[in-house]
Amino acid sequence: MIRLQLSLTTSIRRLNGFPVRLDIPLFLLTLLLCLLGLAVQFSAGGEDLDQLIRQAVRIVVAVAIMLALSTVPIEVLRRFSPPIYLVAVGLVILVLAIGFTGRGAQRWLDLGVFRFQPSELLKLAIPMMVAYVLTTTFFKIYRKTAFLVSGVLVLVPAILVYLQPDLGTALLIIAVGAAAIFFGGLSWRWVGISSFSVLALIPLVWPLLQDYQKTRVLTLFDPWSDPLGRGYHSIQSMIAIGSGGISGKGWLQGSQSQLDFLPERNTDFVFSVFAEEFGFVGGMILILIYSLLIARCLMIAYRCDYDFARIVVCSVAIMTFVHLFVNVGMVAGILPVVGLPLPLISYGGTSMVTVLAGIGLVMGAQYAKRTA
Amino acid sequence: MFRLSSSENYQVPIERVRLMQNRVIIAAVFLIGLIFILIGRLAYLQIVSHQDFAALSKDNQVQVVPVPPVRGQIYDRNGTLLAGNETVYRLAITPRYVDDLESLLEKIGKIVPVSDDDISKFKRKLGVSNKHTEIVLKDFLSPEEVARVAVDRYSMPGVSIVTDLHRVYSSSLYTSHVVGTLGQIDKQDLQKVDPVRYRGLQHVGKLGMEMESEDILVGFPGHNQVETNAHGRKIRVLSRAMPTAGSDIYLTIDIDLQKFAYDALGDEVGGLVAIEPSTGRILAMVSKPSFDANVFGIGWEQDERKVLLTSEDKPLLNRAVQGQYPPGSTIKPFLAFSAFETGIGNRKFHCPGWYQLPDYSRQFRCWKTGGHGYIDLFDAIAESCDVYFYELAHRLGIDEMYYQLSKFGFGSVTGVELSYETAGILPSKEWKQWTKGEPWYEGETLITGIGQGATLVNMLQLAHATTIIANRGVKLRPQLIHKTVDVQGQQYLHEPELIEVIDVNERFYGPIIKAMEKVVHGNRGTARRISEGMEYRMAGKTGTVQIVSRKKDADRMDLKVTDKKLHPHGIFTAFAPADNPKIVVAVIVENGASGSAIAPIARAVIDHYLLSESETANTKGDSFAIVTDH
Repeated sequence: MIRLQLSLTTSIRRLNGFPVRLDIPLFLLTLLLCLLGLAVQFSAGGEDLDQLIRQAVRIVVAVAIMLALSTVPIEVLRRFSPPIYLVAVGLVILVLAIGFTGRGAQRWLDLGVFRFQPSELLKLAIPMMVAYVLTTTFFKIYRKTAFLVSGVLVLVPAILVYLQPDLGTALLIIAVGAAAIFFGGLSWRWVGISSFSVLALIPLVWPLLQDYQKTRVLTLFDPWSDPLGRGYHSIQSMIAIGSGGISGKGWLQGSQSQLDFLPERNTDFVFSVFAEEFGFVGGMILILIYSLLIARCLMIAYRCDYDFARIVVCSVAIMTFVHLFVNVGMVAGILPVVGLPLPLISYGGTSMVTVLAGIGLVMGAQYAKRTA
Repeated sequence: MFRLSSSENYQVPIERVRLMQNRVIIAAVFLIGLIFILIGRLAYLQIVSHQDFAALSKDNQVQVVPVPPVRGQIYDRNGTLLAGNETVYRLAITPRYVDDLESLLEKIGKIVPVSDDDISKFKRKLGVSNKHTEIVLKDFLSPEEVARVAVDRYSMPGVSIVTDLHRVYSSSLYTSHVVGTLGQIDKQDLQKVDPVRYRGLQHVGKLGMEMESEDILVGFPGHNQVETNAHGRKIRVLSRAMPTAGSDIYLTIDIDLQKFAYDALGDEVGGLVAIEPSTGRILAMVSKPSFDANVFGIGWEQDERKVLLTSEDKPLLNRAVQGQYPPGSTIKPFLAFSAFETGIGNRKFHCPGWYQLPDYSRQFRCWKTGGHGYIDLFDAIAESCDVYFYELAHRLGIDEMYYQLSKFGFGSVTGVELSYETAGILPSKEWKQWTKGEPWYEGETLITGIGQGATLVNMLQLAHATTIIANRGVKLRPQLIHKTVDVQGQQYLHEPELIEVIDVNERFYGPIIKAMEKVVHGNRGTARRISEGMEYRMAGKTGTVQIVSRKKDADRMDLKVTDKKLHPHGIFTAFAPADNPKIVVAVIVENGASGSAIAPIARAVIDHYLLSESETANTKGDSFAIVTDH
């Protein structure tokens, strides 16, 4: 007999003896986002059923991974953090080496059945590793060293990912790693110093960027300077969003999206399709759902009294948020086009697995407060 | 409360929890702030500026369709087309206008032959493309097929004929390694190139000059502003911004000589480089076996591609710049300079047929079993005496040899326009320590003296080094691009480029060139057989590279000594005429038995060039004036 505990906090079900720690609010919110995603995909993909089914299969797989991860006790995950981190970094180096010999950029590892992007693994492995370092007994005493080591553990893989080259993911990794260090309790003095030095570094890093990356940033300030060339993406996306108005043009009715003006509308620019068809109201609802999801994660972190779990949970929340903020900011023309997908909604399985796996960790972590 | 510094709070759980909870609240506030930025921006776009954007959207029946530029063509130095663009017709289907795909495919199948392969490829593309775009069903329609489709086109909505430019390599087998190929733009390429510039293009250079000169060849896209109806169908073109075609490239290659050299190598595996010494321009660069660039790059013959990629002979490898071989005895003239530079000079040594170091049990053998007797430096070059060069190497020492040989460019890239050229290896004590973590042994100094051991060169390096001798110290960068011509017809000549005049006393060139002449023209020269009937003087040097040094190795490797894979590689490098060099040739034939055996190939190529040159003397290169203060 399966006994369902429907409480608003955590319910533990036993499926064949495995406890599935299902957090009902998180579960419902993610499901809601996935369903909204399918609806937009159907419209953006030109009403292609095959494509929709492929995306649905990805959702099922990702949700299964989420539920599987939620069963792993957080203490076990903590112990496995260093090996997971090492494997993730090793794979990134491997991919880089393969790309090097093939004389070209490389992000993927082809495993036959599916392709796998090791840098995605880093998005979870890095906060786990930082949380691990900050909660070891040794580093609880030597705090300064601990934060220094954490910084290196974040920056080294970030540089490797940048070399792939994948600037978007590299920046995301730094953001998530920085969040983990922040939640690990870095003193305010050092938070200030490091934020300041990041700002100071910008003019130094600028010359290192590829030409096309520079023009992406410059286009942000004046997309109309080249409306048919470099500004095209941004302008078409803003037209799509703006023409949606308050209530939108209606599902499957977005002329910008349906008539091929909007590029990459399945993936990076999927929010524009959503905003064109469902308007400001729809956009607010979508942002509200994300906010609730992130708030729920932060709530779990707030109540949690196991350090490792808290840092990881917060980092997952920040990771989801950065994806959302950068993606929407990019399609709305306030951030440069760096190519981060909208979590759970953009077409493709990679970021979906990452985010749902992260939420699986959060669900599992919630249980930790009862034992720790 | 936010001022908590972390270090002392760790022992106190309650404080710690406070700190963490504070952090969570701060983060939440921060995130809410950022979310309000997003909301503000969306409100601005969707409420404040809604009217403007709605108007734009309504007007947005004007679509921008990129028009890809015409890729620059590649010619040889005399203007013979090597890589050109040919118009091809493809049959395409726009899925949006098709109601019943299967019956349409059947109908098309009756008009033009469509293979199952085409159909499965089409369906794969159908799965990932937009329904409004034209998807190619069949490539390379013949004119008759185009006509047949055109007749029935109105009964088949959604079917269209797409005109496209296709890259054709007219002397493909002969030039594939130099000219290169195009290939599909993949995700990796998109990271390296500006996607805006490649909008509308499907191909990018993947090998050879097609890859190295991508920037020159590709041009800039234009775009048409196309008015569309409510269903996105094109009504008319409103305005055009014409694309800028890429520039044409004229290579330094002489296609006539290239073909001749290719044929001269016969069915052998090997490579050949010919350089015009007065300018450093490369006249011919051959690598065998070759491949058909028309098949490899853009063609659809997957099977043939696989054969090329997996073949044991590695046809895709450009042996002229990527094939690394021990130079064998061809290193000897270059080492001979060291004898003069260090003051050892033209001393006679005795060659009993073997050489032994004081503390070594191993005997180092001369190729001539009975030995050369007392022999001087010049005859040691002409007859390729190994013992002489063991002795010379022993006296010079590896450091000195490294220093002298590196002047001729051994161990470093030549700087030709092929970025994947190899640097070869010029061993030194540091090199061995670095790569193997072992000290240098004196025995290795000896075998380096006869071009065996760790030393590796490619044929371009060897031709380049020989050119330096031919030019008496003037080191010019080897060049493959003669000039580029942009779409306005403006020519950009790639001038010969002086790297340096190498630091060797110019008195030494004469004697050593004389010795190299003796290799060809002397009574006992190793390449004396090719001098028969020669109307000019040639300076050269043979080299023979042992693959398996002893018969014992052969037994161990379970190979018969008669097996061709065990035959030594033959190398020959030469220039002619010796007193006024017009061409330098370096050639390797893998398992070609010996340098003497393959020297006729070089002679044939030089004969061909010098004879045809006398006919067309005026069209040949602009010589490079050198002012030195010697």
